Amino acid sequence: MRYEVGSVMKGSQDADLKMRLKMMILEECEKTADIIPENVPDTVRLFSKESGLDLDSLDALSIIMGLQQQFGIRLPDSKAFRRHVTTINELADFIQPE
Amino acid sequence: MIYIHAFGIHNVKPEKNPPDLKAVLRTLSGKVYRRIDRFIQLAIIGAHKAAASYELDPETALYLTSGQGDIPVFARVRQQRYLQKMMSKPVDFVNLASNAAGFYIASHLGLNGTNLFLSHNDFPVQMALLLAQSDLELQKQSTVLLGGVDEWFADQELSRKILGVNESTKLGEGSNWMLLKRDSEGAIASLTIEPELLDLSTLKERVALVGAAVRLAFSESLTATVINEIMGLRADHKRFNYEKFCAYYETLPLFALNLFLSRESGELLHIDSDGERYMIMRVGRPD
Repeated sequence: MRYEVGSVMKGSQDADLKMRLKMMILEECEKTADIIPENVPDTVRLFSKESGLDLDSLDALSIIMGLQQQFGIRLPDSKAFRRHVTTINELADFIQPE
Repeated sequence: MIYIHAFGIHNVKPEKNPPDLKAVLRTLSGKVYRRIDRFIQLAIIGAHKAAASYELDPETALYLTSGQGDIPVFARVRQQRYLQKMMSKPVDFVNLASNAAGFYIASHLGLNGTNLFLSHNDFPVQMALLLAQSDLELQKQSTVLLGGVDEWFADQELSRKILGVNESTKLGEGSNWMLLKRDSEGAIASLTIEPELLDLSTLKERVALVGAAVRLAFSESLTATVINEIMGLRADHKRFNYEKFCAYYETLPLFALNLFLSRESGELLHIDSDGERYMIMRVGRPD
């Protein structure tokens, strides 16, 4: 289901949006058996050891697909991906600036 | 002649939807696999059943065959790419574009040897077994783990079209495997694949010469008339009815042979057809 951006609050303050992002990432990267969305940190870089997600480049592609299909967000290149898919908070702010 | 040292059966006769394999795979292997689709799950489960308890040489060759391949993923990618005009999932593309199932099995069993996915329009099982037989007899391989995998596909109409079977044919899925060697020591059974494509009259001549103790099994592609003619050649021939345990998929001949090994002793002659020509395989299991 596609996420409709209708809220006026900033993405990083929107718990519902952040939960949807976490669920999308876990589903697209097939991590739902190992990690629950609540355990995905908001402020830690997703592609770091500290996140506990153990993501790689193929996961990055899957997240790009998920963002496009579920949130209507197109990330045209790896530069855009690196800029916006950092932490959950920053990604949420990118999707929903305010 | 080559020898069967181990075998594994995973055969499902689904009523509506086939069971989820993630839990089955996790129980069997104790591992969680990411990025694998149902076809690969089936392949690992069957190969595991055949070989996990066997001390495999890491150089064991892996030959995998299938009648219709990873058709659900192919259909999904086609739908996304050409009908929805969307990018297909990267994982789907990777799994479709390579011998992904072979890679995961090799990784699961710790194999480094030759790893082949073999496709053939008719007689996929026999062609894969013929290659294994040749490679073993020519000593190009010392051990071959060979399997046939076919997945049940929800779009039954497309599946039947691809398989060339009629509307009443019930479709199933399976992953059936054999560990093959040239050496007879410790073997469960012998296996001979006749390389010739026979016409019906030659087939009848060959069957008429087969001893009474040999059981006969027929593939789905043989008509009832032909089966009756063959069974009528000798009154003392008995049929091995494996069909009641399975629904149709193209690599069923491996299931038929493996089921015989699991339940019977003596010899089995398996007869398959592409509609015009016939192929024979023979399994011998000591009493």
